[in-house]
Amino acid sequence: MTGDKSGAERRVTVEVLRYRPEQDAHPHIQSYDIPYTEGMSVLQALQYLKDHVDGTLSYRWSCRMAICGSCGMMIDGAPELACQTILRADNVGPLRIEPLKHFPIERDLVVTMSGFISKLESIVPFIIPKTPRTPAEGEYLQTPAQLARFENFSDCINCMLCYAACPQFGENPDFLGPGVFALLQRYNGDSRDAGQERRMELVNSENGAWSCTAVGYCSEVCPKHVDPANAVNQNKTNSALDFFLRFLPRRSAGGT
Amino acid sequence: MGGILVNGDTASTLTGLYAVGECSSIGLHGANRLGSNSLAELGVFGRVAGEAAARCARSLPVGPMAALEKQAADVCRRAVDLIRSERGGERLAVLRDAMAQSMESGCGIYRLGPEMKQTCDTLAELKHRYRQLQLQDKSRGWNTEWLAALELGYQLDVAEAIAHSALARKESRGAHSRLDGFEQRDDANFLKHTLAVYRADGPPTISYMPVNITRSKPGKRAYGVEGEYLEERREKQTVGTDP
Repeated sequence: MTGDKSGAERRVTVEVLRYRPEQDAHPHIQSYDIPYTEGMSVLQALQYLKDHVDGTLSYRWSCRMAICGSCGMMIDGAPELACQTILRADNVGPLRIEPLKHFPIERDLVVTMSGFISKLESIVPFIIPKTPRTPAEGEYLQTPAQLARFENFSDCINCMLCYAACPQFGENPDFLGPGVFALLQRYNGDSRDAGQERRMELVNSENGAWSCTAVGYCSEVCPKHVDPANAVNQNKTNSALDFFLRFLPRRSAGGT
Repeated sequence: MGGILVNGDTASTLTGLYAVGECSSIGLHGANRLGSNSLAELGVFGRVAGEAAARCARSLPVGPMAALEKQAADVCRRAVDLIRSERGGERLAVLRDAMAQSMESGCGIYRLGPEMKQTCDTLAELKHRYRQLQLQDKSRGWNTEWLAALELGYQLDVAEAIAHSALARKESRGAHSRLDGFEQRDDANFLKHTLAVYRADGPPTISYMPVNITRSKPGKRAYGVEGEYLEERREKQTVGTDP
């Protein structure tokens, strides 16, 4: 049925989860048979579908080069960026494309991001300097070693694949989750930042670091190798430290 | 390089409209804007735009509400018309790809008069066909076909501004390189900004305005050995003088 072995035009069956709330009572699978060329991305397949077969299919996309993080979806059951997933003769059976797991579906392959966005905002994702500098005082300086402590976490593109991979987020949608922890650690780990105290309340909370059961699938699916599981783990350590340090006498304001 | 004409405060010629970054022409980049330079521009002029827009909003009285509401209703009607009516048989992707193909061949890296003329004609034809655009998706929620259709209408306007401006500029300068007898920079006739002004019933009106030159004078951009030679000469001279 799929894949023409004669070497002529190759075709692939694409099974897409459709849900249009204005007309569908429930999400359902719709099958399409489309031509493809070796090396084409899943995003290109979707674009072919939308341009030439069915203009009513909706999905998020923008950069086509794994920078923007818009086209995350479940491809054959795994969270992937559609732009980075390549169709090859040896892996093309019927292709199953569904919206990112664990998120409410807004329409077709588009999921609701508002929960994720408000979590991102909740961790105050910007540098809170201890003593703000004026432009006349110059830049906030940082050594390469200080940069290395958090740089990896700043590569996150907010594609939410790690959330679709996270079984804990599937159980509890209020769990802060891997991606937000990566960003939180990007700031807590930054030598120019002094906002850790403000963020620790979230880290220590019911939906914070301790909700993670260390499955590690989040880091496996991350397209930018951010290693969010490591960010969560570091915060388990920080949270434990935070807890025990409260039993020590507070240092005086002037330091010891 | 082209964009919405703005002054140093990022204010456009339309009161209350401010433009900054890749969409704007603030006069900073000259005839070519190198990749990523708009990012630095955003860092500086984004703040200027925000502050200027806030000042403007505070200083202006509230406009005539009835007229504004009618204007908004007209815009809304035009947008809704794209998904509602039986308009004709034109497909979005066909028109979009034809526009891209025509811009590639006429207004790509190297340009020729007849090809630019052909692109101008093709764009006029595509704008005509756009009126027969038929969308499949009639939904009001997350309708990306509708969004792309709205974009295509504006893209055709911008494409026309580019093509007609390019055709009228009989020289080579910055990102505009002609191979049909106009390979050189012609400061006598074309050291000026092209202004393309929108017309509802045809291609834009083309006019010109003077360039405000401060420190960086227009110069030859050369590569390889010639480029190195010119750079050495420039370093020996005072900053800002033409080599």
